[in-house]
Amino acid sequence: MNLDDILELAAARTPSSLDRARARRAAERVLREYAEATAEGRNLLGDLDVEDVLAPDADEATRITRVAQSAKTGWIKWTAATGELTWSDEMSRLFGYPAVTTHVPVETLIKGVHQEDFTRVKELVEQGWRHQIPQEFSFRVLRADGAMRYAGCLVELLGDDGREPTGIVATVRDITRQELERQEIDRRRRRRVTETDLPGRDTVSGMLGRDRFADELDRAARGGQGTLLVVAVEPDRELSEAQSEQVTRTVTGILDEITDSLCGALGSGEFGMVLGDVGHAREVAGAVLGCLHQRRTLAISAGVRLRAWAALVPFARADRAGGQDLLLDASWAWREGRRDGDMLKELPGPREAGTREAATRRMIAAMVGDDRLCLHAQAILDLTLNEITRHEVLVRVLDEHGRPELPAAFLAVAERFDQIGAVDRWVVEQSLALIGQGPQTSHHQINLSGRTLSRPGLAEFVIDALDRHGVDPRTITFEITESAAVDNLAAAAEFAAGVRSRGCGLALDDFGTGHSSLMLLKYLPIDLVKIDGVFVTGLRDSAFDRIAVRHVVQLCRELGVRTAAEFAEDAATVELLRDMGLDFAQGYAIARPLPMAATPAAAAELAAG
Amino acid sequence: MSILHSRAGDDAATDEKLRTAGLDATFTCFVHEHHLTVKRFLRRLEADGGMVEDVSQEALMAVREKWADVQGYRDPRAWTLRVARNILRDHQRTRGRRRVLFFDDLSMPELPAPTDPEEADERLAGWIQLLPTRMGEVMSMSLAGLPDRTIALELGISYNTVRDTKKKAREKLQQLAEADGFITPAGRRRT
Repeated sequence: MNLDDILELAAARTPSSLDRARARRAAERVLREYAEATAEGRNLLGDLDVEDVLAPDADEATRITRVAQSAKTGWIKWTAATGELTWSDEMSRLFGYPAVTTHVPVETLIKGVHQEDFTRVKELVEQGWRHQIPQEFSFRVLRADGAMRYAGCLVELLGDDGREPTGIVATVRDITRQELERQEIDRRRRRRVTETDLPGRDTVSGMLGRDRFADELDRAARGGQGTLLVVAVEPDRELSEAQSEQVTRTVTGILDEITDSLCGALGSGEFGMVLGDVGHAREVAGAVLGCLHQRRTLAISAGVRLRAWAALVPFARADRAGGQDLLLDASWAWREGRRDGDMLKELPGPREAGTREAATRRMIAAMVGDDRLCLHAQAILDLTLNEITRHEVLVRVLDEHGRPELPAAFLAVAERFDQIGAVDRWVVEQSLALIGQGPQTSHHQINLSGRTLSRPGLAEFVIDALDRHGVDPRTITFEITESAAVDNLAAAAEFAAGVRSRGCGLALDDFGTGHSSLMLLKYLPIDLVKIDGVFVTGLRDSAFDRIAVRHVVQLCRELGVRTAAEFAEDAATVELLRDMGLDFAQGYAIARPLPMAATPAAAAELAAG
Repeated sequence: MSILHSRAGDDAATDEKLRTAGLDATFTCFVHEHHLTVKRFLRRLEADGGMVEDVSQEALMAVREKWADVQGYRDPRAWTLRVARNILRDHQRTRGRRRVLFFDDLSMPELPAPTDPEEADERLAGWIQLLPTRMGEVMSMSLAGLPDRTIALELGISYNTVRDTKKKAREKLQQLAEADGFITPAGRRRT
């Protein structure tokens, strides 16, 4: 069946008995209401145009303009013979003039059409005249008072009975409201496509990640009271990534079975739950530990044994402890428990802020002092040359058994308690030492926290280290991470000027997620912007990410800044990044971080074990 | 004198009554004949059935009000459709927003082929509602059986414009029909 069939079928419609009954009722109702209305003397026609347009005396132009008038539409008429322009009051008002003259100079008309629309309007009208076809279009009216209106316009040729056209009449309506409505609908539609849900789900467990969990915990702690339960699971040996994921899934499954409460995968084998009163929390903790114990030998390939510890921290609004504070306390507590052989450690409440801070500082200082940190390096692909030309130096935290762990939580805490400076100095010293011993064929990028930048003497320290280790400054770029705000821009600028004068490069890390990134780009001599992984991982599917990345790249190019993308996790994303004009890509699709060593042979040895 | 006067008054009143009755009668015939036409015409311009109902009632009231003149017009039906269209425009303007449909917003299930004229009429109305206003009006008047010249007169546009608009409307309807899967001429199964 096609359109013709449907037209034909519809045309065959004749009034059914139901239709006829409806018509009878309608006629009766109209007559009844008409009688009432006449009795009340109501005017039924209002301002409706009720003339019979079929009156044969009027010419086409008169008819058209009269109908326009009654439809409250403006019109303007051009007569070919005289070149005369006349317009209606309504039209005059639309263009912002008082409705006094009917004749209008052509300059007034030209002035009233928005400059950007003028050429198009002129072409359309001329085209219509040449080909003898009506033209319908919209344009912007620039009123005499400077305000702008959108107008919908129908331009028709006059000429009775197909003779040579004698003129043009254009009927014009103010469609500003409809146009704004259309634009708004269009805008909302675009926004719907680019709106993105909050991230923060752990990809393996499907639970909230550490930051999101801390946010939710924070909300709970501000809102009233409850208990934080943290369960820490430790395998008895180093696990492959697949095995770690299997452990995470196993624990997630157990938590799912036992409780419906808010759960989070905090990383490094820690899992958090927000529970109600302590008694209930104790039961949950017991059940979880019991379950984990029954499954001491998990059904994962190598028969890995898991040990589990748990900590309970009751909280109330009055404690004024935030989500991150509570997580720190719980972390500290289960470690205390482990030391004392206490499987479930219960705190009476959050620690004093001062105690917490002192303990955390001591812990960080000890880790830096005892070299419980180590360095990894991740290759960066130059997308133009299509070869590895750079590496980013990454810090790893060694656990109690000397196994490297991701440092996110550690770095966040160090930043929060203002200990990041010590960590950064350790990283700079150690990495420059390793680089100095090597062949220095690759460019290295070293992270510095925004906070560290404003510490006095940092530039001197860095330059001194470069000299001591014999590192060519031109092969080093410092990445400013923006997890904490640069608290002294002047000091940061001084550092930047200092290291750049020796030839080092400066990069802005985590671009788009940190603090005042655009301002840093404005005031610091940045050479490279690293677009945060948040905008890269979903690049292939997310309209938002594509638009954001494309425009950051364009912005940077115009500013004379190079661009890199982190978290390029598959080949298709790398290609997309190349197409979008990025200079560098980094991520699992290119290489995973590997232990850093002076020589490739030493690195291979480190990686092997 | 008073008798005479009262008789004269009676006569005038009687005349008036007779005149009204006569108009009511011819008007009723007109409504019986064209009610469905008016409804179908409006239906093609407006998806909201309640509004179609209100507007058709209001339009017929206006017709009755002017019936003494209108019945003498060359084409009372065409005049009625114009009045109905003007009233509809007012109603749509008051409502504020014409229903806006985006094709990609709709996840349309496959539409079943209409089996009788009424269903075909509804399907057609659905497509015409999606046309730009003027196209819809020209198409709807044309389907109501008005000649192109009459449409030009009633809509206050030129004859030239009516012909051109009809051609374009037809193309758009074709696209809409095809988008809904109405491609293959009858006699074959739709694919």
